[in-house]
Formats: sequence, structure tokens, C-alpha cells
Amino acid sequence: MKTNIKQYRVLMEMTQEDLAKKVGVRRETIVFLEKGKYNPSLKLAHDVAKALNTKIDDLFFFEDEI
Amino acid sequence: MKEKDKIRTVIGMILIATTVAGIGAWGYFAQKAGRNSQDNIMVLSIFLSMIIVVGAAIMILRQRGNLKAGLPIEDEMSRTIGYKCGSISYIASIWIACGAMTINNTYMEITLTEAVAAIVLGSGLIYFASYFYFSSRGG
Repeated sequence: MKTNIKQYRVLMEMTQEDLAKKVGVRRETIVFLEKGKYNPSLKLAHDVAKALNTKIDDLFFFEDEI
Repeated sequence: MKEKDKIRTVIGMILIATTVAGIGAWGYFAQKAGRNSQDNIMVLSIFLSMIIVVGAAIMILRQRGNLKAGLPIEDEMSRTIGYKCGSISYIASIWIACGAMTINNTYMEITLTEAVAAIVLGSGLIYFASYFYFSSRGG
């Protein structure tokens, strides 16, 4: 799984800590989400997308979709 | 939520301090009593207990860092990792018990205390080993 979380976060001039605070998770979770190493639940994916003013589809995608 | 997290971290710190003091007192009095026959087992169990305590201390320090930054100490990812490590250490404790029974029946005599210590320390070590492994991999 790959993500665009970092790009959207940087675009919104947010730090990992800011995003973690907005979503209500630990900073480590944001780190692993950005690396695409952690598969989030639908709720967490939705919360991250909402915090970054975008849709889940724009944030998460699988390598075979590229 | 924040207050609850703070209380949990403080309780964790108190438990770690109490455990360190307990292990220290146990080692001191055992040495003073002049135990010789089981010295190696005692040193090994103190060493294993200290590894578990260090693991717990690192966990608490990480939680404290998040708490200081105004973040939660527990979330979806940490809960998932906790469940995984819990189930792995539970299965490990069953296998350690089976191993202890097999060793007791074949190679050497193991007392009940030693078997229980092996199960508790073994599963504790496996819990922290798997916790740090999954934490570094992202679950």
C-alpha cells in the first residue's frame, strides 16, 4: 500500500504532530501511515482524509492501481 | 481522556519503581542469606526480570513523550500491536509450560516455582520482544 499523506500534509503546512493531534492518534501512527507500513481502519482513513480536506481515494492506493 | 492517560502513566512508573525495588531487595536478601545451590537460576531470573522492566520503562517513556506533546498514549495501532503481542505471548506461555513438563520428565527435575517463573518471565520477554518488533514495523 502507498499513501499520499505526506504530500497532502506538507501542502497544508502541517507537521506530523499537528496531524496526529487533529486525528487524535499518536505521532508514531502518522509516521507508519505515511510510510505505507500500517493499514488503517476505515474510520482512521476517513479521519485522516477529513483532516487533510481530501478523500480516502486520493490518500491511499495499492501498487497495482498505479 | 488526558487525565486518565496521565494517571495510567503515573501508575506505570510507580509499578516499575516498585518492581525494581522488589528485584533489588530480593537479590540483596537472597545474597545475604547465602544461597549457593541455585545461584545461577537466581542471577538468570533477576537478569530476565530486569530486561522486562527495561522494556516496560521504554514503553512508559514513549507514552510520556506523547502525553507531553498533547497526544493520546493509546490509539488504534498501539491497541492492534498490544492484541498481537498478547496472543503471541499467551501461546508462548503454553509452549513454555509444555517444554517445562517435557524437560521435567526427561532431562532434569524442575520445581513448580521454577516452572511458573519460566512461564511468567518467558511470556513477558516474548511480549516485549514482539512489542518492539511490531512497533518498529508498524504493526
